[in-house]
Amino acid sequence: MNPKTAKNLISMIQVIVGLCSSIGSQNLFARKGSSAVYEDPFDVGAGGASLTRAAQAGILFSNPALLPYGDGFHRWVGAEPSVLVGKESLSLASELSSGAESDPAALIDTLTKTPLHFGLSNAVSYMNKGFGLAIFNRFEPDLFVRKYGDTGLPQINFQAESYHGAAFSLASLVATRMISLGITGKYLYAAEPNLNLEVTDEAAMSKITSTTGMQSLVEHNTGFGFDVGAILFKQGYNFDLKLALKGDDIGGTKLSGSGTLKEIPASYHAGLAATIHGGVDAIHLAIDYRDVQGAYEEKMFKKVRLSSKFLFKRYVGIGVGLRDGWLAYSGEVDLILLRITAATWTKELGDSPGVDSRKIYSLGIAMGF
Amino acid sequence: MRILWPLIMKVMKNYTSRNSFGLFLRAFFVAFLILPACGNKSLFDCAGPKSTVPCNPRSRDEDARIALDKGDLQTAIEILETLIAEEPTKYDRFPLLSAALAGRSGFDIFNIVKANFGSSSSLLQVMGEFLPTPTSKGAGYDNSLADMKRSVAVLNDIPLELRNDISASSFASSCALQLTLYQAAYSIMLINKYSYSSSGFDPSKLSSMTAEDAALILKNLLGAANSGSSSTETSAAVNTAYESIKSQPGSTDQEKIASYVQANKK
Repeated sequence: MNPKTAKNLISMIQVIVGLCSSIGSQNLFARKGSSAVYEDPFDVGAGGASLTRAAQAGILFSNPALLPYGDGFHRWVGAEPSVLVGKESLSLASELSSGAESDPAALIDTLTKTPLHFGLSNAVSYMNKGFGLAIFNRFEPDLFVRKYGDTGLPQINFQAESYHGAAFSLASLVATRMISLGITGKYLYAAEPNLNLEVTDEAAMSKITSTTGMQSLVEHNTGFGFDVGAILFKQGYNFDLKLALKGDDIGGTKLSGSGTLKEIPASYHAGLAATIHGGVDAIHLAIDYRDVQGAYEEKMFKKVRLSSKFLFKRYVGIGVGLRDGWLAYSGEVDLILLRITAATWTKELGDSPGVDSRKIYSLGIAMGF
Repeated sequence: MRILWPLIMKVMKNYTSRNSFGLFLRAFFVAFLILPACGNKSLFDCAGPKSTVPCNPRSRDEDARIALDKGDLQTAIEILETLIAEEPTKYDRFPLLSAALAGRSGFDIFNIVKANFGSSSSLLQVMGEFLPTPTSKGAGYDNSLADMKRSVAVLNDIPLELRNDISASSFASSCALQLTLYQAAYSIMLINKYSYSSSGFDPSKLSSMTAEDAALILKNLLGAANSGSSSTETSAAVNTAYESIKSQPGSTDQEKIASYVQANKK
């Protein structure tokens, strides 16, 4: 590697960071996992077992059959922007802003120890007991420089989850409150780039460091798909039980375009929950088993999710759970028109526990009622 | 929680004792009680302090990857050596092992960022800035030298057709560059063996250079210059060094190398 290569590396990082920070709701960028394309941060921080209970627009993607189980006809209208950032990214941002890493070699060395991970998401939605509509976007890029890449030399790994689109849900109780069925139709504009670039490959670096070169590698594809959900609900005086079944991307969602993400396979999930409740307080305990038929070939640690949600007086919520095998926490305060959510969880980007973990912090402010 | 606790106890008492789903509730609470045991690892991590659920074992390639990312080169080398011994024709692991051995020898790839092979400085001066010496490594220098030698040997164990630039293997291009860098580094480290003592630069040691080591220095420089690397600046710098040595005064390779060192040291 020579100074030109080093300069290319720095340029590459600048281009990626620049592109990521400039897109906002605009879109840039393979389905690797069976998670819903959009999740509410409170649900994620509570472990992500949200087949039996989900917050706001998350209902449409977690399980549309949940819609009829709210109080009153109207359920929610509003927007719920949120940001997330990786723990290591925070410390790196602090170092960079202080100018402590002005030496390119020192900067690259720091980057090998500190993956850059951040994300933006938002959903503008309206929901009532039988119908829901949402326009959503979620963009979560991850940049990691490996000192020893797949071929032994330094490598930049850039991956992202970029999902945008609209969803439309219908749900209804079937004869009694015991059974609910729901369906979500969705239009997706999606990409999951996973780029591995050797910093010593000058030709590839030159190509990638141009804005057009970068964009050509992260093309989005579009397509329609639909999900179906069912809830079996047994209500008691202080104790409720829910059994949820959900099918995502029934028949497989075909995506078209020049991007690499061509199909989202069908996957099926099952969830069980118990809710202990008083008049207005509730404790919701849930377990989800995702991708029952193994379409994504995920290991157990990604399939099993545990959630406990403690809901006090309708204004305060605390979530504790297990996601990707790690403890996750979330909290929310509902101030009538504002709902503030803070959450932290660990995301496993690799195929096995501990290979590629990212500790994530999230903050969201939902505006609506 | 103070408000909710009586409610929890009441409901738990009423339902967990007589309801068939009580098993689920109890299991859930027990699960949360034992969760803290997983510490700072995933609960499903087999390397965790206390496995409470059937864990998901990592492949040994993944263990090697984790060790490399952490900079634990010793562990990475041990794992990769075992894997290569088990599957000697799975060549994509060879460049990784070579890189780890080079790293353990003291060759930091990111120091190449600082190196300017296009400058008027010689290869000895450019790479001498960051390569280990008997002064910096002390008694461990022979181990560093042995690691770098093995690093080169591991790459040379890959069939030539898989490591030239036109081959279709995913590692061909990087393998060629690695060979250039590691062979050049090995040559300079051999020179350093005979030009540094524990107290610093000591040209008086050059006279002790063996004919075998002198031949190794030249052989590796020639190999580095002709490895097929796409990094023309690096290859050119190595080739210049080789030609410069060959043009030095002296009747033996040792004398030529000694002259080169004397002429190119600050």
